[in-house]
Amino acid sequence: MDLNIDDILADLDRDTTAVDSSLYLSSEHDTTRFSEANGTPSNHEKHIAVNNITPESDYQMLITHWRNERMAPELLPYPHLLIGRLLQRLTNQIEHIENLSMGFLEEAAENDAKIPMLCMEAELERLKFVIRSYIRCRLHKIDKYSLYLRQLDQANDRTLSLTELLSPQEMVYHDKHSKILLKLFNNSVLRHMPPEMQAIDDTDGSINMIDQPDWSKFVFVLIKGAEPGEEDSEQVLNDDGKPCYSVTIPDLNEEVELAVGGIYVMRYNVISGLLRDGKAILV
Amino acid sequence: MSLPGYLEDKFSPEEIQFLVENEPIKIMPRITTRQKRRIGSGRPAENTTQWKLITTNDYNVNNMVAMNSTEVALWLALLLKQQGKCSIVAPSWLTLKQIDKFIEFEVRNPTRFANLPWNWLVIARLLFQRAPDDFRDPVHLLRGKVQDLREVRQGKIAKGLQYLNESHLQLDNLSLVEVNEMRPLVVGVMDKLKEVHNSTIKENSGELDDYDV
Repeated sequence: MDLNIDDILADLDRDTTAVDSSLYLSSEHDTTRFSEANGTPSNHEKHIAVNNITPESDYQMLITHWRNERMAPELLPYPHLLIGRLLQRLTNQIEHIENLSMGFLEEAAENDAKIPMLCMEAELERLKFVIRSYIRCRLHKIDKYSLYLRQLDQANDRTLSLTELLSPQEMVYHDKHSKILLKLFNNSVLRHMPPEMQAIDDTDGSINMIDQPDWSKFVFVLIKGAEPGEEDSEQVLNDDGKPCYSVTIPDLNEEVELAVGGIYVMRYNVISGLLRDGKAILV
Repeated sequence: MSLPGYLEDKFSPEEIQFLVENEPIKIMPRITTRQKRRIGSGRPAENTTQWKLITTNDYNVNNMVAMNSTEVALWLALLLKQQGKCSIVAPSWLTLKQIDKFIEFEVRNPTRFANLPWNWLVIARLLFQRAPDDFRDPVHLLRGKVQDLREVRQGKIAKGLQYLNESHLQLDNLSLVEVNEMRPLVVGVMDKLKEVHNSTIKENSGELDDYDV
């Protein structure tokens, strides 16, 4: 007789990993702080909370955000909490490195520890590069869609407010930059035009002056699927028994099955829902 | 503009390499960083600099024992390799035998791509360049095989371009470098095809609406 004891083994496994993570928890102060702030009662729940927010997972999330932002035609919502945590860690790390290098001045001869310093500095530069590139990409899109963003701000029926979409600094940039640009246009050309043609965001003319993101632009997308262990209600099985998502292309009335793990060239508006849920990433 | 034009809708090869460098890889350290526990005190001695990393797990680098394999991020491995403090263990698919299997698969299945890791081209290039002495197989043969594989796949990609259409395309197992180099062409052509298709729909839409209602 064959007894399937996989679930029992999995139960045992879970216990040991909980102990493991609490072992090196003591060295990571920021993760403990987050889990304490949640006030989690049981050890098991704490384990989950810790797993969700670690420096590694935050970095992975930043990379995903960066890749999506670079490839998506629209401006994606700004991850306020994530960037806040990363910037906090960045300042702490700079301070830490400075303290260490000060220490070297006194006891440099004692231990040969240049390599950790080298790696920590290199890592700092890498993190800074990603954040910088991410912000620059967003600023580029803010430039491009400034009129469209202003229109979003004025129309209050949107589900997403501008403060969620942009960081405070980006709001300032958006405001000031469009004002400066408007002033330039007004002074150089627009004031010589007849009054009905002076508007810079005219939507009734022969050509719409507000540039919208190209919602149906083709993008390369990797279907990642839901987090392992989580049940996903949208997921269905296709004929081969593989999990996949079923989406419809509205213009063609065509239904497409997106298998988990596959790479597709797809219209952006078709997969933007999956993208927002983190079930797909742009490549 | 805040973003240079050539980066607007694609990644540069350097950025692809950056992404790949975040992946873990196995190394054989030549230094020991694990702290010996003093008997009685119970906590590690704190006289050497601890690694404190903020993007990857620093547990592994703080517990390296010389010649015991461990896993670290690729950029860290390359940095250590440069200093002569470790040797990199080549991934299991980067052997003559395995690559031969992949080439055979590619030749036998003209409509599919072999299941290589998404970063195979970059990993191979980086390791050939920076860690050529760590391979079991002679590097010049490996280099030749990887080039063969690349050319077989490029041929298939070129053949696949005839199926560009206005709805979608499925390209499983394509690596990131290959995606990135075909991106401007594919996206450009498919966007234009879509425009052409949509404009014909709009012309006929009056009649179609009548039928629908």
